[in-house]
Amino acid sequence: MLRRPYTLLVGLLSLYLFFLASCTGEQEEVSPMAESFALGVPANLATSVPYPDRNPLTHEGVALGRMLFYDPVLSKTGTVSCATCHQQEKAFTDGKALTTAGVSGKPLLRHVPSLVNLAWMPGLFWDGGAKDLESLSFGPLTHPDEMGQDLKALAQKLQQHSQYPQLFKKAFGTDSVTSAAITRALAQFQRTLISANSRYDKYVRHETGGDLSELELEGLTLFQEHCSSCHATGFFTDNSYHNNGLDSSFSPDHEALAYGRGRISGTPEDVGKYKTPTLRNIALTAPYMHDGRFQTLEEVLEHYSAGVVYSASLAPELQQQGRLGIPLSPSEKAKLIAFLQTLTDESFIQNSAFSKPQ
Amino acid sequence: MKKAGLNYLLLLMALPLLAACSDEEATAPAATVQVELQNMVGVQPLQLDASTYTSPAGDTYVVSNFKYYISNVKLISSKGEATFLEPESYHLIGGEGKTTFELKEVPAGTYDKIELSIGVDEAHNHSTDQVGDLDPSNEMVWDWDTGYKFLSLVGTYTGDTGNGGLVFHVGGDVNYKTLTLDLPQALNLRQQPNATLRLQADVNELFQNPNLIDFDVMHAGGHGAGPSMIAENYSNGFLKVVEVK
Repeated sequence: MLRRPYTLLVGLLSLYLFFLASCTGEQEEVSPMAESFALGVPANLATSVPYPDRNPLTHEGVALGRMLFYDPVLSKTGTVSCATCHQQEKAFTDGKALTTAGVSGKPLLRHVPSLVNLAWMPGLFWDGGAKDLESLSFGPLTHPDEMGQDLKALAQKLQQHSQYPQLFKKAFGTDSVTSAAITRALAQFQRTLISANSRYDKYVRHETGGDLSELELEGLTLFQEHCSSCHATGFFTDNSYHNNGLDSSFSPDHEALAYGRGRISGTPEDVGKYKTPTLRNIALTAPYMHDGRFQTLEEVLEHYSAGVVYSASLAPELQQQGRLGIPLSPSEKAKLIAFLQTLTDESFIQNSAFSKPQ
Repeated sequence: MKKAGLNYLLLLMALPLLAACSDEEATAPAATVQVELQNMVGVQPLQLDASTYTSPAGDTYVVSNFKYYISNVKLISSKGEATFLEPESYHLIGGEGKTTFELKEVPAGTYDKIELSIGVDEAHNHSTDQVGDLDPSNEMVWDWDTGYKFLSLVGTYTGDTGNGGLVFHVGGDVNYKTLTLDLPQALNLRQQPNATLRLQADVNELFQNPNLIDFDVMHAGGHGAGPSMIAENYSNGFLKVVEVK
């Protein structure tokens, strides 16, 4: 007896829900073919990979982004790809202080940054001027000394390409190639570039292969004492901006490029500050600093111990007890360098998912 | 008791069906309003490259490219009868952009004001992976400091003490300005379902009211105090509605 009214009620209810749904009209169109991409994240790094609602990770989007990343068709001359300067074996850097590999052959004004754990970085570029990964790529794509590409011409080139329109359709549900879709795909691929599988990580997670030597452990202790206030462990950056005492004055040339963060925020307190770079894979990403002025880690530590110069925005951490810099003995430097080398992640630079697609 | 409860529930469930499917707009006749924009210098139509103009501070200048964003366009009835907000309302005016756009599905009513903004609102100004008029290929973005150029004027000037390039790129959230402009006559969409609002923008007004811009002192700028002076000027007398037809 009870069964029939119950069935009727369920039937009515589903009809009701159907009508309600059909009346809401504007629903965000989800690409029907793209398959969502669940990325594993090592526990000592984070619990999940953040992404903006407008650009969720999908297998197809990541694959397209990877293909674009390695394709020189993205540059004006067809000769420069993202990977020209962001080489996987060097943790996505190119080993040059100021690269000349762009389409004009002119040296850039800043050092190529490593591409690692970008999903968690709120500001990109050395000064944090790019506010998200999707917007970032327009910089290198269009800069006359990087890829020199007109965006309208790029969308047209890809639209007429034999393969790309169908790949865009798979990733984003439409084969109409737009500037936005290009950098969204690139951003998806770059969010997958996660590095947290170094010997240090295995040590932290108590995994096999996670043995640190006495020297490296002493280096870790020194690191925590002297360096981790900015190079906060986990990401090995606090994602913030500091003046680490490289220069005493900052040129207003090149539209005040040397003001660093100050050029973005427009406040004098930020002049001379740069984003703390991650130290993950630091042994692979020489030379160092925003202009690549130091060739080796030894030179970097020499700077912190004896080369720090004063300017108004100098980090307070580098001017304690009435002296500039961080006093380090030769043996302390050796220990720190031994520790920094444990941050090299071989599985990151060998991961075939990050390499040039065949 | 139980049955009465069920009936009551069904009645409750039916209410949103009635409401959700009968938008007021759908029953009232909707109209289309054309918005035309003409760039002027004083009373003359702006001619790129061809004409030399005199600025309010007495310098001469030539404009080779001029464009700006009009966004979040609203029609307002001061009697509170109706308001219309254009959805996804971003229009790049000038340059290779448009000189006209259409407000669609405007509910019938009598409107006497138009509200619009110059620039791109904060919610859309911090990411440039956007489409349509906000597509970064329109070259109205900064890549090194993510955001839109709200207004771009490029040309040359001859001042009292110097001459050279004139490059004003105005952007930054503080320079997003919302203007409310009176229509010279009320727009009654019941009587006039296909109306046109003709607007004029006066380039010389970028350089005065309240801030007189002397090109010898300032002839370029993107961020900071200088461009904000121009933004104050464009929120004051730069745009006006000259005709309802």
